[in-house]
Amino acid sequence: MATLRFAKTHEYIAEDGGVFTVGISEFAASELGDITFVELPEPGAAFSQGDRFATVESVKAVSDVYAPVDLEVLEANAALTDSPETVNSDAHGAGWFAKVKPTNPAQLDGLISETDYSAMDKEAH
Amino acid sequence: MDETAVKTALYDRHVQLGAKMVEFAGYLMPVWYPTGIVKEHLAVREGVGVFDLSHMGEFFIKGPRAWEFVQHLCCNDLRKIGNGGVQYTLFATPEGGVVDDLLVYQLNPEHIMMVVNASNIAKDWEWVNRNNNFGVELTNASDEYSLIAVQGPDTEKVLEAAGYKGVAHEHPFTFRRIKHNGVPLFQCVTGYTGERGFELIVANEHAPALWDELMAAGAPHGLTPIGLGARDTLRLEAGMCLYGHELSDTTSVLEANLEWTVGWNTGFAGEELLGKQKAEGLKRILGGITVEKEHGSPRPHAKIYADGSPAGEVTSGAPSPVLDKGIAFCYLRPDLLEEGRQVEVEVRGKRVPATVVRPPFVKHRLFKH
Repeated sequence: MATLRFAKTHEYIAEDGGVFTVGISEFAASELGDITFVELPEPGAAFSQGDRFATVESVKAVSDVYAPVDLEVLEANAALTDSPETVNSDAHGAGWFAKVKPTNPAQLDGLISETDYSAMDKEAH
Repeated sequence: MDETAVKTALYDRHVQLGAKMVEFAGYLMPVWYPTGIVKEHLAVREGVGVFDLSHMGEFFIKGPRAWEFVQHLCCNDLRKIGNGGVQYTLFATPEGGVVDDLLVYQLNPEHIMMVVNASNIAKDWEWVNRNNNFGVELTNASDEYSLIAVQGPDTEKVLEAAGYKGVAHEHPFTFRRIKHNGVPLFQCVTGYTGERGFELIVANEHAPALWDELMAAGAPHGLTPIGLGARDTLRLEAGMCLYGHELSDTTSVLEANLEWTVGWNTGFAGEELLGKQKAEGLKRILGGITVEKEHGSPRPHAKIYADGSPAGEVTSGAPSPVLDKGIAFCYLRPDLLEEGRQVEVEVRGKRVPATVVRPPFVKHRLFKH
């Protein structure tokens, strides 16, 4: 079972047996509506926490996706290129954006736990 | 969410259906239902959808000179329609801008209804009053009427199941005042989707029952509630302008490629300037572009380049569910408005290839087949 941690900007980083994946939260996906396009980072690219890391387009809008921690991209989820709607149907699972290596793991402790994220008043953000 | 936003008579219905509600032009409106924009959009193209458009404004113009007043204020040639006719037209300003685009409904030459954009009700109301040099009686009934649209190739199945008579024979851009189960309403063969469809304009108090009846009668025919999100992508595919995007106080009717709505020699306000513009030639004109899916969609204000030089700007853009590529309305240098012309458009900060097309992107199918 993966451990999920969230950024205030609604990205998650999941940890499962030493493998880290980044995506957008189910809440963010439902707020965006039908997702039609995802622009993913290249493997090997490095980002600092808060950098624009990917772009997601819904029918209505274009949104930036930010790196929840300092990270290096190991693998992008190529399946999203053909099936961006997977982000809507399974944001925390098959709708992952990238497998990453956190380059400053201490930052993970500063993220929001799954329990706190679920309880957060997200409409205000 | 804005606490002062107005709830339409159907607000509770949308909440029950699980709609995502947003504030639009001061009204709380459904932007999409749990179905999602793409499926809602395709339901209207392939089946049938129902919309709450009660935010739209209704004005009534009455008096011996009502017809003359409307012809003065609106650029289209009102002689093209008669009683029971509907016409797409615009309030053109003498300075060459557009106050709003609207539909006029001629009950008779002394009684005309206008349906205007929600976002412009206050401005339009001020405009018609300021220009009332014809002694007509003006009524803003926007808060009293609801508007329910049924759109898509299966529209008649739903309306017939709900007890509306003879709808298959009705002609686009006409309307009738009917009584449906004793309820007076305007049954209009109009829409904003490019599909066969009807719009029902009814007093607020009757709207919930009318909606419920349509939903029940339409269920076996796949009637799908449609939010403003899909309404926008439907009108964009159909190449229909949206005020605030393609039209504004500083765009002219000719620049918006709407010369087909200009009634030359009718003497409408603004005709002189448009005539001058036509003689001198336009500096920009509204056209369309398509962008292959792999690049994403062009969005409003994206810059367009032709042969490396600035050549225009996007006004509305979105992924087209029917064409499965990005489509956009844009103002272009007139010489570029040529089907198939290759240009570039900025998408997320990068220039990507785009192909010029003349809207509509998807053909209209307004007649019953």
